[in-house]
Amino acid sequence: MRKKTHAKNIFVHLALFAGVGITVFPFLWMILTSFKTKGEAMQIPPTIFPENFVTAAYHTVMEAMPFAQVYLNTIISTVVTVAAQVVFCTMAAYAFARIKFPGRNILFMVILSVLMVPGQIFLVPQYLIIQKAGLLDTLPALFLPNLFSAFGTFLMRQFFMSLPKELEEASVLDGCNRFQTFGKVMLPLVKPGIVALVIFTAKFAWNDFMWPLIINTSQDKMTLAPAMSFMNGQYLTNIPAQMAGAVLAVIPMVVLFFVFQRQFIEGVAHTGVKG
Amino acid sequence: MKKNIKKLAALGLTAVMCIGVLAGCGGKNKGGESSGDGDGTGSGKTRLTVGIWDEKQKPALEEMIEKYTAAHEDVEITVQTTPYKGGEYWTKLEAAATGGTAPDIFWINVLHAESYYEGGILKDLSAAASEMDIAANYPEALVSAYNFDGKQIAVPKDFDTNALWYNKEIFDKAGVAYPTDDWTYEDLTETARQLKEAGLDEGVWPFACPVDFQTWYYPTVFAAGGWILNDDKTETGYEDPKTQEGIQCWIDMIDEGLSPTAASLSETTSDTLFGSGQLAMNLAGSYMTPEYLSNDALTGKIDLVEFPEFNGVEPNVINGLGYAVYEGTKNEAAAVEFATWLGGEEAMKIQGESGTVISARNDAQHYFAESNTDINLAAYTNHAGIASPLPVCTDAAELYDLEANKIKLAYAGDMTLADACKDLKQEADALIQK
Amino acid sequence: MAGTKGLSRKKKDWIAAYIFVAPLTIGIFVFYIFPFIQNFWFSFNNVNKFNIATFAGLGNYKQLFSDKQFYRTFGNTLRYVLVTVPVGLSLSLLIAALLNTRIKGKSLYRTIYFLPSVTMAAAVAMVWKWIFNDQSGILNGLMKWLGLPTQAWLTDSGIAPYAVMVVGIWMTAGYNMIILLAGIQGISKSYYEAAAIDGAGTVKQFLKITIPMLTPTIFFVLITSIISGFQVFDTIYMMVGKINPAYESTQSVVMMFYRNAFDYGHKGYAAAISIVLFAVIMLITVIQMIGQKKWVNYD
Repeated sequence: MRKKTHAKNIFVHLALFAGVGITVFPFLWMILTSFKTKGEAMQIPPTIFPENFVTAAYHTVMEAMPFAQVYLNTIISTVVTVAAQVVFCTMAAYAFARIKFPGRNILFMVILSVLMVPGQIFLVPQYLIIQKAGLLDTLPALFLPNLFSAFGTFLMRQFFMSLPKELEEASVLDGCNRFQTFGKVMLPLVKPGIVALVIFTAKFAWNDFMWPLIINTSQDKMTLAPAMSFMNGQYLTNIPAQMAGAVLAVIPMVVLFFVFQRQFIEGVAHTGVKG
Repeated sequence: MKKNIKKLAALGLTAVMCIGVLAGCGGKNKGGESSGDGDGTGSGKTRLTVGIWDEKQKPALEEMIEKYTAAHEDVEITVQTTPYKGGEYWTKLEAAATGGTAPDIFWINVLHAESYYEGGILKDLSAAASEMDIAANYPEALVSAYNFDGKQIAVPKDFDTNALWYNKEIFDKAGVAYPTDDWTYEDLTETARQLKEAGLDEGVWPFACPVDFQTWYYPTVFAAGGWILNDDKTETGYEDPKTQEGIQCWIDMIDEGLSPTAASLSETTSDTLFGSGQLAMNLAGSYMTPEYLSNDALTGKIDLVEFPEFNGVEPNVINGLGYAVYEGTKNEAAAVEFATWLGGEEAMKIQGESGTVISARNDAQHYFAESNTDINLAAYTNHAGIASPLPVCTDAAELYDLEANKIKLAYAGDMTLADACKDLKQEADALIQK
Repeated sequence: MAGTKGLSRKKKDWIAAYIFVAPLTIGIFVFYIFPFIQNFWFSFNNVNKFNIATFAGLGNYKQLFSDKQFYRTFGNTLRYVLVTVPVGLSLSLLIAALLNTRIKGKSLYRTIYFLPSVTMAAAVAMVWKWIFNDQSGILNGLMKWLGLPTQAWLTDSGIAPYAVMVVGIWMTAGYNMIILLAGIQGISKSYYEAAAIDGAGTVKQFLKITIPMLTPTIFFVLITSIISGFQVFDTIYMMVGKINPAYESTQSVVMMFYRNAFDYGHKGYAAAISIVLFAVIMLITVIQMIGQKKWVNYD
C-alpha cells in the first residue's frame, strides 16, 4: 500500500516539475533581465545571466514616478474593487442561481453580454461618465467602473448552483428569510468560489493598464501598470526597467496568492485516501 | 467563532468601502481644483495644461515653463505626459476632447492634424501666426503642414530628418574606411560589400533594410523623382517607375545579402541590432539620437554622416510636430500666448540645446547640432531646407497600413515590386477617393 | 413593513431577489450596458474620432460582409478558439488534479503555475518575443542544440498562429487552474470516502466523482475561455507587428476592431465589427447554455 502512494507521488512530482520549467523560465528571464544594463538587455544573442548585476533599472522605475504613492493607489484600488465585487457579485449571483424571479434569465444574459464585446468599447463612454461626475484624475475614478463585474457574477452563480437544494429548504424550514439563508448558509459554502473571485479580481485590478492611463493624468493618481509605461522612450523600450517594473508589480500578487491559496488546503478532496 | 469571523469580515468590508468613498470625497475636492477646467477660481492664477508624450523632453519643457512663468506671474502651467507607444496619447486626447477637457496646449503631428482640424478641436492660430511672422521664421514645409483652408492650426515645434549612423568598431575590425558626408548610394552598397567580404562576426550585418517608409524608402522615392500622393490627394503614385526605383534599391540590398531579410527585421528592428553592436550602418531619424547616446554599449563607438545621395539628389523626408491649442480651452488668450511663446526664440533655443530634437525655428536649428560636438549631428540639419514633407492625407494611417501590407510582399520576394505596386495603387486610390 | 404580511412567500422572494441583484445591475447598466447600447447605435453610423455620428443605415454592415480582411481575421480567431480552448481546459484540469493530491510542495507548485497569469501582459509579450526570436531566441538555440532545423516562429504564416496560441495558453492556464481547484474543493469528501471503501482507485475516483461533480465549474471555464478566446488581442498585438509577414494569418477580430476604432478613427465600422463578434459569441453561448442540461450536474 505504501509503495503505491510513493510511486504515485513520484509520478505527480515528475509531471508537475516538467510543467514548472516552461512556466517559470520566462519569469526567471524577466528577473535576470531586470538586473542587466540597457545595452546588455538588447544584446543578440541574449545573455542569460547579467554580466554585471546592476540595480539601475529598479532605480529608474522608482524614480520615474512617486513610487510609494503609486503603489498605494494600486493597493487601494485593488482592495476596494475586490471588496465591492465580492459583495455585489455574490449577492446578485445568489439571486440568479437560487431565486426564481421574473426576468431572471433575460437579465442574466444581458449582464453576460457585457463580456462578449471588446473591452475597449467601454473606454470612452466610461471616461465621459466619470468626467461628467467631476471625478477625473481622482482615486475613485480608478476603481468605480470595476466595482461591477459580469464575470464575477457568472462565476459565483456557478458555485451557488452546484450547492445542494436541500440546504436551502432546510434553512427555510428553520424559519430563515432569504437574507439569513444567504448569509448564514449559502455564503460560507461557496468560500472557495469567493477565494477564486478574490484572486481573479485582484489580478485584474492590479494589472489594469488602459483604463487608469486614460482616466487619470497626474502621476500621483496613477496605478503601477500605466506608471511603468512612462519609462519607455518614445521609440525604444527601456527593457530592464520594464522588467524591473513587472517584477515589482508581480510580487504582491504572488504573496497574496500564496496566502489565500492556503485556504484551499482545508478540506482538500483527496484522490487517494489512505493509500 | 465562525459567526465572529463573519461579522469581522463584514465589518472589514464596510470599513474598506468607507475608506474608498472617503478617499473619493477627498479626491473629489482636490480633483475639482486641479481638473483641466482651468478656471482657476480661488487663487486668481490662470491655469494651463500642456499635453506631451515624450518623457525625455519634459526637462526642457519645464525649463521653458520656468522662464515663462517668471515673466508671467499670473500663469501656472502643468505638464501632462501620456505615452505615444501604443497610441494611448491620441486615444486619451480624443476622449478628453470629446468630453471637453483636453489640455489647453498639446503636441500634434501631421498624421493627426487633418482629422483633428476636421473634427473641430483645434483653435485657429492664424492671427497669432502672422504676428510672429511664421512664414519667415519657419521652414515652409512645416508651416503648410499645419495649415488647412488658410487657417494655421499649430505652431511648428521641431522636425526630424534622417541620417546614416555607423559603428566605428565594426569598421575598424574589418579594415574598411568610414562613411563620409558626401557618400552616394553606390558608395553605401560598395562599402557594405567590402564589409561582408572582410568577414563580420556571426549575427553582424553591414546594413539593414526594413520595410520602413519614413526613414528608408520615401527619401529615395522623392530623390528619384517619384511621388506618393498628388497635390489634391486624389491619386497615389505607386505605379510610377521612379517611385518604384526608390523602393527597389533597398530590396536589392537584401537580395544581395547585405541586409537581413525583412521578416527577420520585423522581429528584431534595425535599431535594436544597431543598439547591440550587430549592425555596421543604420539609417535613423534625429529622434533616435538620445536613444543611441544613452546606450552604454555604443558609447564612443558611433558617429553619423548625411543620408547618402541618391540619383544625384540629397534625399530626405521632413516631419515635424506642432503646438496646437484646444478649441475648447477656457483660457484662450493665455493659451495662445503661451503657444506662441513656445515657438519663439527663447523657447526654441532651450529645446535645441537639450539635444533631444531639432528646433523648427530657422534661427534655432543649429542648436541641435551644437548640443553634442563629439559626433556629427550637423548631418541632420545640413540639408533640412530641401527635404520633402511626409505625404499625408486624412486617411494617412490606413494608407500606410495598406502600403506596408503590399510592399512587404515585394521585400520578401513573394511578388515583384511592380506587381505589388499595381495592386497597391488600386487599393490606395480606392481608399483616398472615398 | 405594513402590508408585507399579506404578501405571498413567492412575492417576498421576488422582492428579496430584486434587492440582491440591484447594486450589481444598476452598476452594470450605468457603466456597461449604456455604453453597449451606444456602441450598437454607432454601428449604424459613421463616427469620427470625436463621437460625431452621421447616420449610415446598414452601410457599415454591408461593407463588413464584403470585406475580405474581416473573413480572414474571423477565420484566424476561430482557429485560435478551436485550439486554445480544448487544449487549455485539458491542461488546466490536469494541473488542478495533480495539484490536489497529497504531495509535498503543493503550495509552491500552485504559486508557480499561477505566476504567468499574474504577470503584466506587456512584459510577458516581450519575453516570449525573445524566446521565439528567429536569430537569437532560446527556442531556436535549443533546436540547434538538438540538431533540428530552426524555425521562424513568429514570422512564418503557418507557424506564427500556433506560437501565439502557446503564449495564450501559457498565460491563462494558471487562473483556470485556480477556478477548477476551487471547484474541486467544493466536492464533499464523503463521496471519495465512499468510493474508496468500494475499492475505487485514484483514476477511477477522478473520472467518476471529480469530473462529474466539477461540471458546473468546467462549464464556467469553457464558456469564459471561449468568450475570451474570441476576444484575443493583447498578446498578438504586442508580438506580431504590421510588417511581420505572418500578420495576416494571426490578426484577430479585436485587432481589426482596434485599428479601425483608434488608428483610423472609423468608430462606426469598428462598432459594426464588435456587434458581429458579439452576435457570434452570444449564439455560441446560448447554445451552450441550452446544452448544459445534458452534461452539467447541478444538484
